[in-house]
Amino acid sequence: MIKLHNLDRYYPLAGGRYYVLRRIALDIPEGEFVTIMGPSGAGKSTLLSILGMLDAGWEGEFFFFEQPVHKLDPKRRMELNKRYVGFVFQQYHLLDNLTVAENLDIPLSYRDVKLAERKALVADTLDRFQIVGKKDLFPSQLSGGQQQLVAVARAVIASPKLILADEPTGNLHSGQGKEIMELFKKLNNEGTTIVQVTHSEANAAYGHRIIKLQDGWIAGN
Amino acid sequence: MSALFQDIKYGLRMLAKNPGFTAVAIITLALGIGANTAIFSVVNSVLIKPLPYPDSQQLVRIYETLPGFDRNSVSGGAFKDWHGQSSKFAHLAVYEETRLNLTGGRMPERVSGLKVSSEFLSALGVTPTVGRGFVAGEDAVGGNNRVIVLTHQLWQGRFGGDAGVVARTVSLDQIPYTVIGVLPPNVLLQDDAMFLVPDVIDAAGANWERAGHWRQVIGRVLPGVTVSEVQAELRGIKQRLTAEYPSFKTDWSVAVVPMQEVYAGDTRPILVVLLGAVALVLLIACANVSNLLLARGNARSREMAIRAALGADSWRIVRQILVESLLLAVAGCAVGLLFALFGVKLLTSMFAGLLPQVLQPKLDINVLVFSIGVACGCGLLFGILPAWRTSKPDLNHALKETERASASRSKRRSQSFLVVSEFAFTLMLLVGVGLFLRSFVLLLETNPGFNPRQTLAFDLSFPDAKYPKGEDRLRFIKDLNARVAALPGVESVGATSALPLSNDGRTEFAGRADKPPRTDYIVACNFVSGDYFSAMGMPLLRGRAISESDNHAKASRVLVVDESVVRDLYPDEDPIGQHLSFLDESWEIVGIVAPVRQFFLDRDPRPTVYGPQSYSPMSTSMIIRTAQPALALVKAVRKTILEADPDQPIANVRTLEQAVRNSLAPRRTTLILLGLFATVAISLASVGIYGMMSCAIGQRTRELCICTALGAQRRDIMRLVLIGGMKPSIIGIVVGLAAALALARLLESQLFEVKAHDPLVFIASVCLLGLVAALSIYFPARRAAKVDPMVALRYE
Ligand SMILES: Nc1ncnc2c1ncn2[C@@H]1O[C@H](COP(=O)(O)OP(=O)(O)OP(=O)(O)O)[C@@H](O)[C@H]1O
Ligand SMILES: [Mg+2]
Repeated sequence: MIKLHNLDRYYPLAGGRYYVLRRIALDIPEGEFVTIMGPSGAGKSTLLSILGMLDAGWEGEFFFFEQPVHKLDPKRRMELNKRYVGFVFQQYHLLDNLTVAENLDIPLSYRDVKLAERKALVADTLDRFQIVGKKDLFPSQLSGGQQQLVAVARAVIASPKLILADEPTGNLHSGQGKEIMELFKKLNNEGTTIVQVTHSEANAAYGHRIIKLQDGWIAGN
Repeated sequence: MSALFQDIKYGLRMLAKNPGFTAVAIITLALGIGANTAIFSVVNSVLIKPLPYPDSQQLVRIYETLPGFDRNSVSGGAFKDWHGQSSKFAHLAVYEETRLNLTGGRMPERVSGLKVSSEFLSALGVTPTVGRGFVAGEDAVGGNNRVIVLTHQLWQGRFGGDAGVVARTVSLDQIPYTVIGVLPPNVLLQDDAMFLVPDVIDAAGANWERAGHWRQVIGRVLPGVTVSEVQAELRGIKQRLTAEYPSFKTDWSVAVVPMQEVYAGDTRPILVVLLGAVALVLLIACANVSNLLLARGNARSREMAIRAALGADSWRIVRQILVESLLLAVAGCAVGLLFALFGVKLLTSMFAGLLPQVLQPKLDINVLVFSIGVACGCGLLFGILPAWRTSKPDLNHALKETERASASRSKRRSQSFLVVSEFAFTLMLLVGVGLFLRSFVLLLETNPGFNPRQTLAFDLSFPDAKYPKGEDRLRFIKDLNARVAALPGVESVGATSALPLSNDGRTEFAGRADKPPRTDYIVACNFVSGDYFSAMGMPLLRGRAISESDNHAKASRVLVVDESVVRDLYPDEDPIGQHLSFLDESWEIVGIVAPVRQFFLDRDPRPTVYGPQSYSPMSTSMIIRTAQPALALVKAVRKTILEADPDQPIANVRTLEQAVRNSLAPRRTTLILLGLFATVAISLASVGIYGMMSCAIGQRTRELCICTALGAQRRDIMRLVLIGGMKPSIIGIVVGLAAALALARLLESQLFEVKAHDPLVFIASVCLLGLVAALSIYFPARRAAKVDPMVALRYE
């Protein structure tokens, strides 16, 4: 599903380049559950946003479902994102002016899902994440962990083929974290490909393999 | 559809969440849209809406023309020729304005009306609501001439709207007329006209020759006939018959003008200027709102980046921003319509003297559609820049940014661009206002050729029945002159056939008696009696005035001429004692006066001659010069006149100062409106730059504080900020200057003694705007310089 070859990501720096990712080669087949680990600043979030087509400033080769992303224009890339990807941001990125329910509805509304179906899906998801009581609250009225829960819910609601999750349980009680992991596991069993970033060994254990990043290099599989 | 509904819902929520922003934006837009709607309502009623007659595009006015005058009134003979020989009219009619004394019962009342030929109402397509209109023959000699059609207004006012009025008799100039019908309300374009009576056309008299021009002609062309076809036909008729026309009319011709154009033509230049001005105001308002939207743009671009990351394509993002700005525009439109409601009231009173009642502005469906259209246009206009900016967010960057965003350079560039355009538009407007203002001031200072202060004027009338002969009128005028002169507080009294600036006056050909007759020199002519020149305050430059001994039926023909006549006809000779050929007679020149602006204050005076009133004792206005404030004398004068003739109404009491003021009314209206718009524009522009500065300084506080912490003086900071803020305003002023230089030419025809590139106006506008810019920048800059660096840094 995902093939990276010689992928570099750098920022221009006075008198040279500052590499965040260096010669990344990666192959993630469909249906895999991969964990990316590494110290702070290693480039994990950067890699994830490249996989999610949110970052365009890289060089190298990137095939997504056999499509050469490096040759696609931004519009086609965003179409791939829209069609396949659900993203859990490290900073959640909930929309402040929308209620919980409306935040969940957003990905559906951009995917031409019928209104009735959308309502049902939102209700289902609220139920599944046990946040029905919060559905009319705004993000600022939620705790950090609750916000994270909504962010995860929003990433999975449109049943994407690929879930990219950047520390999806960082703020959660271990019990709740476990539930998220169980959910990922279940989705993975149903065929969803998952790439997660985490610092937790326990969470990493849910995945099939671990990719270690160090200073922008892949240190080991 | 439901997605759009959702966009609207979110849009409304966003607006409700920022009430301050929303209110400012809505009021800004409402000012712009309201002003545009109000001005458009005039454009609509005058230029766009058809005249309120059935198939009004078939209605035309017809003029005789001569070189230099393309809209002369029509002679009876020419009308007869057209009526008899043209095949292209459904109806053709003449009318002339008249004033008759309506007597019997109450105070005598002098009422304006129209003398019309029998097809007048059928040409307009108007049918009386009560009774009937004129029938053929009622305008013919020996026909049933003593019939009258009342307007709705006169019927209501004088006859209490009594339907039984038909067949009743009323007395006009002491002749009984039978009422035959009542018109529907507001159907005549002549607001003063209260009645219609037949214009009796006497084929034998001078009344019906081809040489006397005082009638107006209207026609309704047959369906499918064009104006140019009619014009060609009528010109052909004139050509065929040219031998039968007086010799001076050899090169006269005929002009046919669509009736609407007669009214539209005069007001179009003013309306174009006003429309241009409000369009500028609207553009400034849009720039301002756009700027406000940009100022919020950081939070929004993060939101839009998230939406894009969640799958929104750029069209959805553009749409959402545009929906929001359209919502603002619609709200602005609603409030703007309220403003427009007041604006239209104001405009109606301002245009009252300029337009017939029928053409007064109203808020109708056209105006509403225009207003909504403009609002939507604005919504797109001010939404497009922010929408375009947020639709292409740099996801990687925007998603990482926190709420405390720094101003991107490109955003600052957008803001500067908006400030530049605001200042450019405002300067253009200011220059326009300045040019009009200077014209107006110069006009106020113009010497009209007479002294308007401490004067009292009014009109007299002489119904044929009571004053059948010229001598009768002359005797009455003489008697009145003497009686009024005897009143305490009266310095001098005179009478004339037409007072200056009263939309009245007669023109005739004149030439030297010792040269071959010519037909290209036209003079205005007034026939005066009493102490006319001293009552008017017109200095006698040479010779003598018209005296009472000249005012006899058998006195010799003498004229006083003005300096322009001397300049044109006797450039190197002494005109006193010379003879002027005028009205087919020879007249001796006895005196010279200074030129008077008889018709328009803003045009050079026409050459004018003054003769004794005994040669034309027709319409008469009296002019009194007083020692005290003139209006205090009205009562005494009225009493004196009623003593002399109890049936004599005194009409149109006014001072010449009022006459001067009235003649400036259109310009004053334009000026006030332009001034109003310029004030709005300048306030918006200063709010715009203030907003931009506050926003920019807010974003740069940290940077500025670090400077302070590093030892920069408050003065250095001020300089940094001031220079940064002045740059866009100066660029705006320069751009506006260039545009104003290019566009000012368009105003040239409407200026008075001011060049379109008047340096004073340009310099003053630039200085004023520069000052406004400096002040709007100074205050936020001072605030920035005062910030305690430690507080700001710790806050970060
Ligand atoms: N705009 C930028 N300019 C320069 N360097 C940047 C920029 N954005 C990120 N970086 C650098 O990229 C590197 C990788 O950042 P990234 O967010 O991918 O780290 P991470 O592995 O996700 O760390 P964490 O575990 O703390 O989330 C960091 O060293 C950071 O300094
Ligand atoms: Mg990270």
